Amino acid sequence: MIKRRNTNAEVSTQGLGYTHEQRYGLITSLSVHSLIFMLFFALSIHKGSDDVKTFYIQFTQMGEHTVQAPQPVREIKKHKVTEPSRKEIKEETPVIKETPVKEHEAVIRTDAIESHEAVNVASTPEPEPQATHHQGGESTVSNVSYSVPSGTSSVIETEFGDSGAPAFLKRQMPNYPLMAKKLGKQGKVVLRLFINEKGRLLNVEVVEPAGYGFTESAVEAVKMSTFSPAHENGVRIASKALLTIRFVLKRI
Amino acid sequence: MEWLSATVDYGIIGLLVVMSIIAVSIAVERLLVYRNIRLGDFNDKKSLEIELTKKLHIIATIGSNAPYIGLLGTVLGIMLTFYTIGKEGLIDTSKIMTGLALALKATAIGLVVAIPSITFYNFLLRKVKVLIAQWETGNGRKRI
Repeated sequence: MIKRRNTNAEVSTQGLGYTHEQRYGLITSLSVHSLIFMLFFALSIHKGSDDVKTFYIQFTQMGEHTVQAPQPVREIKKHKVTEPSRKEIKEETPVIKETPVKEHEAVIRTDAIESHEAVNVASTPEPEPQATHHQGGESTVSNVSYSVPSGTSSVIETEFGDSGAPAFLKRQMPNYPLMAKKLGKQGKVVLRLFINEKGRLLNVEVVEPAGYGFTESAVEAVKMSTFSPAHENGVRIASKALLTIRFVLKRI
Repeated sequence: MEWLSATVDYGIIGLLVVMSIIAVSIAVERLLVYRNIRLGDFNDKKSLEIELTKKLHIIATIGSNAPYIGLLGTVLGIMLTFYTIGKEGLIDTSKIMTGLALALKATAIGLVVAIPSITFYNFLLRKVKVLIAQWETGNGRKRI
């Protein structure tokens, strides 16, 4: 024993030697620390999940499609955005609904938006028959098709809600930012998602940001969601899809 | 300034975590050494003392310095928060308070590292004293 001890002492004075005790001590220390970290993370994850209970998020898909966006309708839409009345929300069909708790409920909607780009009817003719299927009461209007540059023929530009557009496989609802909720702020975030032919989200571009943490919340939720790829004539293709997320508060 | 605050934050906390790991590993190693040591193998009291007190100073240093390092992280965090307020003119209290709370986190972690380290140090020092006393009683006072 003494011999081993002395040799160990010599080795450790040289600098690079691990005695049996040192190794044991390091392993014990690392395991204790990792245990503490795991405990901490488990607790923090648990804490984050029940933060949402003060309001509920209602998801409504508004797929109003007309092939061309005339100017007057665009004005109506802007008007509609400013008044998130109860009646208007009732008209829509909720997809996800959680338990209401408090005075406010937050409604986060995604819908199609109108584009400022040139309309090209010929490139995506599918939405045209769809326009009649949707209820006419809603005045939200959006373009469906864009003039696709010839160089990027393998990538279509579309938006969520279109036929052939990418869709959510698993939809992560964005959290309503707490400060925005307290201040009664509402907002609209428009994102452009680059989704490849396998349904992988490659990039997120913020087309229309909003303050009060809306943009961050929307991007975070989109990154946690999974998608099915866009398809054209039954073939899966990569796409750039516009996604509008509305953060709407409504008083119960 | 965001990246700098993140660097300060994670740098300080990472340093404290590394210090904590080192302190705990040395404490465990020392405990094992003290448990397995054979007092009869040592002829001289001073050589026994050298062997026993080896590396204890590292635990003592970590225990005494961890709060200071945590405090440094807090000071830097508060500095950055104030700098951001001054630069952007934030009136948003929640952001300020979040910055200050995150800054205080560094001090908390420093204390969490320091308390076990000091405890280990005192505990091990006591063990050393006991072992030296045992050696003395075993070998008789004449050989000192």
